[in-house]
Amino acid sequence: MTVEKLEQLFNGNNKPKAAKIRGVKAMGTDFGGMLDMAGAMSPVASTAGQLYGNNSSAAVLAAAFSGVTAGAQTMSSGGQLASYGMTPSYAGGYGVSAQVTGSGTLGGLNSSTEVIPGAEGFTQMDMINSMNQNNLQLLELQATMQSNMQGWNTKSNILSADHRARMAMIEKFTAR
Amino acid sequence: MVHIEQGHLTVMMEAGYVYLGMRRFKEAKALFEGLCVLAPDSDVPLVALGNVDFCENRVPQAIKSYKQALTIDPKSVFAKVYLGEALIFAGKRDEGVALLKGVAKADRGGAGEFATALLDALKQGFEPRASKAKAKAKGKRKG
Repeated sequence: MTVEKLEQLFNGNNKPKAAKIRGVKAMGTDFGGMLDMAGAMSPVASTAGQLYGNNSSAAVLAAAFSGVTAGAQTMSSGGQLASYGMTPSYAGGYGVSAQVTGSGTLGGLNSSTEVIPGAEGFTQMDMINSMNQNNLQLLELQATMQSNMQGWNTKSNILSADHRARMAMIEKFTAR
Repeated sequence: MVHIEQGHLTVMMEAGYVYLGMRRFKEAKALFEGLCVLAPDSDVPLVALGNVDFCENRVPQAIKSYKQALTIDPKSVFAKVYLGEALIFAGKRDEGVALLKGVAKADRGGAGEFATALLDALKQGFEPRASKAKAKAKGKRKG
């Protein structure tokens, strides 16, 4: 990468960065609207409220998108995630979205509202579904990685023990 | 019989294992076979020869070498632990595990550690390739 290119990237003169900033601003506006909408969808709020001890829609959304730890262990899906060795904060964050899907209250969401400005047709429901799919894939990946790690550890233990046994054999032969 | 100093025999033994590590089985085998002749009273060269056969996936030959080593030294923990390993790969899991347990109990050195590592792997669900293939073939025959 050339120096000019680096400068261009870090000085904010490039188009993608500007587009990103505009996107965030626009998202901020929409996020307020989303909070209002969330207040209207009482089924979701009450379900999550029971679990988090807070009935405010802002708390529910914040929990869903940032991974709040409070009460994570009380969630069934949170417990399941914990068995994969995930941190409680992840379990809480992912658990909420799973709960939203699982409780069948998705109907409360406005499926026609755009959540990403400029991405027409990408609704809240699409976003949640996409998040859930991504989370499932992440869990699968994590399980695979843990399984591989266990396999490598086992192999490594056997190989090092085998090496030590061979060394001991040579010692025995030397002391003959 | 040509007399060779023990130090030289040890170097040959180490060289054999270096060849084995390099997967130069032919050279390793030649060295270990030579050592079997030069040190006929030791179980170690026979176990090493068995190691080469095992690495080349010739499990029955490896078992033969290990058993031969046990005739020289019936208490050889090295012959026992590698025989246990080979038996497991030959599908005789119970026999192999019994040998490994015996070595793990009797030896706190290299052989005992190796036996423990193998037993741990089995406990964690490790299944050798050879016995997997055997089980598959059995299933097919039944089906």
